[in-house]
Amino acid sequence: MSIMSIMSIVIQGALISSLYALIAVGFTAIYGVGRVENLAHGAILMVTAYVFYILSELMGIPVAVSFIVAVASGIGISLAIYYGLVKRFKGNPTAIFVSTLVLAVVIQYVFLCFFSVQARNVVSLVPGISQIAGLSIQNNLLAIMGVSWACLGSLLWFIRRTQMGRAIRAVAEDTKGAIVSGINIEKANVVTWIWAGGLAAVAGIFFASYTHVVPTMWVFPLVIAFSIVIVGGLGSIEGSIIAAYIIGISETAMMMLISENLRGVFGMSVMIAILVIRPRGLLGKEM
Amino acid sequence: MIKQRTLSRPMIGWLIFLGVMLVVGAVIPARWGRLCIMANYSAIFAISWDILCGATGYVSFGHPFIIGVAGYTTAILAKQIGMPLYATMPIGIAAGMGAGMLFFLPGLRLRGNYFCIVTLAAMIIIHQLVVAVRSDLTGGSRGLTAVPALFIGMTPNYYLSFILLFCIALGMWYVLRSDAGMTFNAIRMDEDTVSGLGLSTFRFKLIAFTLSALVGAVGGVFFTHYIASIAPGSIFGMTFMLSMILATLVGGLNTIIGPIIGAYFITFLLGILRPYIMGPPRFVAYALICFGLYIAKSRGIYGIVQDAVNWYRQKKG
Repeated sequence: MSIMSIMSIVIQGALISSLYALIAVGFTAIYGVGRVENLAHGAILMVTAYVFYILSELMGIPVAVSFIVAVASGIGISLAIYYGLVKRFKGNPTAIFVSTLVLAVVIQYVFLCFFSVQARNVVSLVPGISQIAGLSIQNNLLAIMGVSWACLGSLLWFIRRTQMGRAIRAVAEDTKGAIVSGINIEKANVVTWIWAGGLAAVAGIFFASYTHVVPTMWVFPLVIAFSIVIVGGLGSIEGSIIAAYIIGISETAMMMLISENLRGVFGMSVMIAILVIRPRGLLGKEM
Repeated sequence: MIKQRTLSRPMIGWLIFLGVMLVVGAVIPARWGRLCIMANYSAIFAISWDILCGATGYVSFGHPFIIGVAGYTTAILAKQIGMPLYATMPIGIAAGMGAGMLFFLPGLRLRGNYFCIVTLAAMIIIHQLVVAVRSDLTGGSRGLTAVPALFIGMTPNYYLSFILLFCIALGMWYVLRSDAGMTFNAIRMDEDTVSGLGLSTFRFKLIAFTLSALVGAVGGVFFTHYIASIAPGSIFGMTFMLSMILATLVGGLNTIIGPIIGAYFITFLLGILRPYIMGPPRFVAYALICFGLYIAKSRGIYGIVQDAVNWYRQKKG
């Protein structure tokens, strides 16, 4: 294997990993703060991708405006899931699993009513191609990396440095203790669901411009979120970011060296291995 | 005069169910008979889900994985290699159970929510793999058609599916009423207490899982040889998985009888909606009806019937 192909694996892998990190971080944060697995997380990505597609491609609205509207719609769905399902079924995890998954499938069928199963291309957010170390890379992918780091960086700053972020961490750490210290649990949950929805929306738009929009596109991000979150440790944001890079780069290597069809399969295998060897994940605290 | 009762009341209920369904099979028109066969198989799958997820509270989204591996194994052996069905069907059942153990046990060893994630991921991945790997054997995304069938015609298939359903339902109903069944329920309510009493919760979860996988694999094998085809999109799809879960929820979780009611309800609902609403809107309608029912009454139709019976008894005094 030449130096070139190693370079290409690392660069391509790092670029796709930044997208994976963006997909997974909302999922893990919601688990961390409320012990809720939002199986409709992939559906948020899908809906925002379609909103962006409808506005920018079909209605010809400028990309920036469509982007903002799509992110707002992602936040809206996220809050709707929180108030409509998660709060209603509080303390009944079976009902939350099943209802969020039913919601995802219903949304898929609603989109199938209006759009066929055919995949459609979305406008590239940042057109053009750059040369990096002799490799041609779409500017779109570079933009994904920049946006991902901007989002994740501000998220980490928010979680670590602000009063609200400290409150959210306290709730994630020990909900009862947080109540006793006078933290508003409800507010911490709502804030988390808002930015988780926003990040999922950003991830959805970039995921669509990297691939395409199709009503079944919510499944793959969900699988990626699962494997990243379990490898990194359920509820740990830093762990998720590290795991996203591990899985993204090694998956790119597998796909380049063995077969294109292995996307997703590899992450799943790593996930099962981690469950056997170290169930709490890389940076997870306790079981 | 004291009435001598040799059979308990639930036993009489089961016998009535057996008698009615045997008579129905002889007189029912073919179109409704085929719906009944589909409902019987969905009921088997729903019971398979209920025995693990309803009882122990470990939600599995991967039962189609077990059912599909069992179905694919027997279909490939029978069609592509030409082995006789009495050999391929046990192999299929063993393969389904084995694959389920291999992939799901790491998740079952842990407490809480890991299991649902592992099972859902396993199902999505096998869907990709079946399409991508050795499509000469699996038939790729189109799947296998013209798989050898066990019986031709509605009536023998009706009786086969019903007898299977009856044996499985009665067996699992006894299991849930046994000590093991009590332990499953205790695990759902408070796993720490159960292990604090000195019981190995993993062992009981394993028993529940094995029974569940056995029922699912048996159902999958017979179902594949009934419809004589298998395709990744239908068996590993979200719709099939949800129909199994919704049947259990609509009928009544953790009752064994509930899933049968729910499976019949869902199958006939879809059959009745078919001429009026086509394609995706039909599934939206069906999912919303079932889910609305579950939100309104989380104990399902079984719970509604139970409440009605209690109300009637109270009124009678």
